[in-house]
Amino acid sequence: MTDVLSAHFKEQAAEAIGNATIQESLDRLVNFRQGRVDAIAEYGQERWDALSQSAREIKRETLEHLDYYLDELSRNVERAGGHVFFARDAAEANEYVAKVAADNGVKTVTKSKSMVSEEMGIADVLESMGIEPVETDLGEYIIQLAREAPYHIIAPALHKSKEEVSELFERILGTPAESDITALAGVARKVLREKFLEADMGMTGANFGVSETGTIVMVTNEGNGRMCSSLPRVHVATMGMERVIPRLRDVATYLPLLTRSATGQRISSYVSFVTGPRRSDEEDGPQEFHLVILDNGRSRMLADPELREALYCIRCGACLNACPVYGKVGGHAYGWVYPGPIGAVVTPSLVGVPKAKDLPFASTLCGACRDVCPLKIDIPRMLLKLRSDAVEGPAETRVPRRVESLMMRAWRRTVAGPRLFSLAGKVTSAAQWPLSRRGSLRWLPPPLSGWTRTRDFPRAAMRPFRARWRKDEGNRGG
Amino acid sequence: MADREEFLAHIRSALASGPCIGAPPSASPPAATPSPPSRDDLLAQLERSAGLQSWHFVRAANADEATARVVEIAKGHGAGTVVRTAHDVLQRMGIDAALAGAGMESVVLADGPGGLDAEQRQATAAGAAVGVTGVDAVIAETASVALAPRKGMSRQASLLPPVHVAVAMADQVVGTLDDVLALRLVELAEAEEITWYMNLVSGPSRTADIEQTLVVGVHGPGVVYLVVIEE
Repeated sequence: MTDVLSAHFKEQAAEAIGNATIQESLDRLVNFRQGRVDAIAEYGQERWDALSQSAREIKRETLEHLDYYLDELSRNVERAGGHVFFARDAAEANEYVAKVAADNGVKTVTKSKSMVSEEMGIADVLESMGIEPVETDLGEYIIQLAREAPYHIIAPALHKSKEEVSELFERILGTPAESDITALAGVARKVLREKFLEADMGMTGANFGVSETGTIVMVTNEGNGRMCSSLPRVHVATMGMERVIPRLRDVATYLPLLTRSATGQRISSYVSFVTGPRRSDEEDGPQEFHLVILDNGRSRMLADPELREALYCIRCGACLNACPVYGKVGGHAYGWVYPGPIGAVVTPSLVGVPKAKDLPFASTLCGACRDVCPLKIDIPRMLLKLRSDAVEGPAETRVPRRVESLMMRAWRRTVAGPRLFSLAGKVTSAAQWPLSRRGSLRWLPPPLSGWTRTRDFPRAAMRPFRARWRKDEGNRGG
Repeated sequence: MADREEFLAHIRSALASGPCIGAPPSASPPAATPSPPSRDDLLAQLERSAGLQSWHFVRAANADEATARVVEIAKGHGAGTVVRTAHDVLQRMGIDAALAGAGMESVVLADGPGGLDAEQRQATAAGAAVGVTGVDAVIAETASVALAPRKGMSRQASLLPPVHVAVAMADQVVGTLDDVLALRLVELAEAEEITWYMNLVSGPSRTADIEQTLVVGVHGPGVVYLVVIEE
């Protein structure tokens, strides 16, 4: 599995905030936001809301009978001549894919963008076997060359300027420096075309798995998904187990929600429907088709009635674009595969709260993520639940915060009786004097500095209320 | 390794915790998408959306006009070799003779006597300037062309050349994606083989992965034509 660096959220966020290139890239998210708004307006708000509501309803029903639909999906893929592998975790999935590659004597694997394959970290596994994994989505290719993680679910290289891409191509591919974006894309087209034609195995994700027909559906724009599922001898698709939908016609419900929320497109350039390997009479296409269905912690979310709703996610990325926190700290701060608000829910749920303890707190709870979500997933509610797990949950989700709980205990004692409370009021009024500026405290000594490092704290009254009350008693008459 | 039964049993035990907490389900049925009734309305809708999806949209009164336009397009892109599928509509148009008459070679990407082997098919498709295909259906709402590869209908003709020309008959135009999927289900119910592949193509290959700047033709065709024969 890909390493989890979410424990370093604060340092990683600070780094992004201090990086001018990254801040400029994040400002471009406005294009995604505007695209989505325009696309929904064109579709019609009322029609959109109805679509959204039925998509929720289908997901609820599907997840409540997930065992049934996964069973149906897998049997139909097999009837169509494909192979299905159920993987409990990333390691099992990797082992299976590695075995398929080894059995077929594979030398080169072309990959189209798939978050699940990022979760698995399959590229590193293939590389260690002497197999060349090539990311073929332009953004994924750029970050593969840079040896970085994706920055955004939809736009993996969002944070890179064209100068950085040019430099990267120059250094690794030996191509001349280029300032024109079309020319840079042309360089990638040329290099990757060679790879498409020589690859023995293609790997793709699956936006949807249709159980009724055993079909996986891939939504792409560049055409690399079509290449990966058409040209190599073997096609391996990986999908999270929650991506199953019951009926083929449900695609007509989810597709507009996905593309219009993600990039503001009416539809993506390509939507591919794959049911097994090539037909017996077909001119081309893979001879083998494998579908890997991954759990990797999802069953824990399924088992938790409060987190199950996060499995409705169709990975459109709209919540990232809307989030004021993501818009400043960027994708790498979140430290794993899924960034932004949905990442702040999914990452702790999949890898465990203690490994990603800061993510549920990396939110202002403003609710913008829930407002833009095409499935209306209540992300803020789940962030609060994860916060409460971190403090009061069962041992395996609790994050020890010794200083904080010590302070809370001291607070409880102080406010429980009049003498200590009154003393504390006097001490606070006197002690804050040298620290306060214009009604707020800008700096507090450790451990309280954890608060004032990123925000001000309101100043306490210069004279405690009780003191004023006593003094004014004589003037009130009565 | 988990086998199917074990995996599914694990899911069943996870579900035992009860229903999901969230908004209650809605009782209202999904809004029906009204499909424009007449053929003329559908074509007008298609023409509008084709423009929005960056297709070059061509209306041809009959097969002969379509042939002339396809030859013109191929010539305009300096094609030496044109690869194509074996769709009936292209045979009826007499496309091979017309292209040959204009000095271009037309190659059908199909197996069979006198055909090319798999390696030759791929090399020819990758080297061709233009790929011409028929279609299985066209969606007016999103200007999407449905292509379902099968015998004689290579996946590569619409994928590897930098220019794709899709030729449709007016009666193949339907309103929405749901219409195409419903048709597919009817075909599947009658089909002997349940294995199938289908692509919806809705304009040129595109990316905005560098600085959110649109570039067309990154892996698939960068220039696409949709020719509709109205007769």
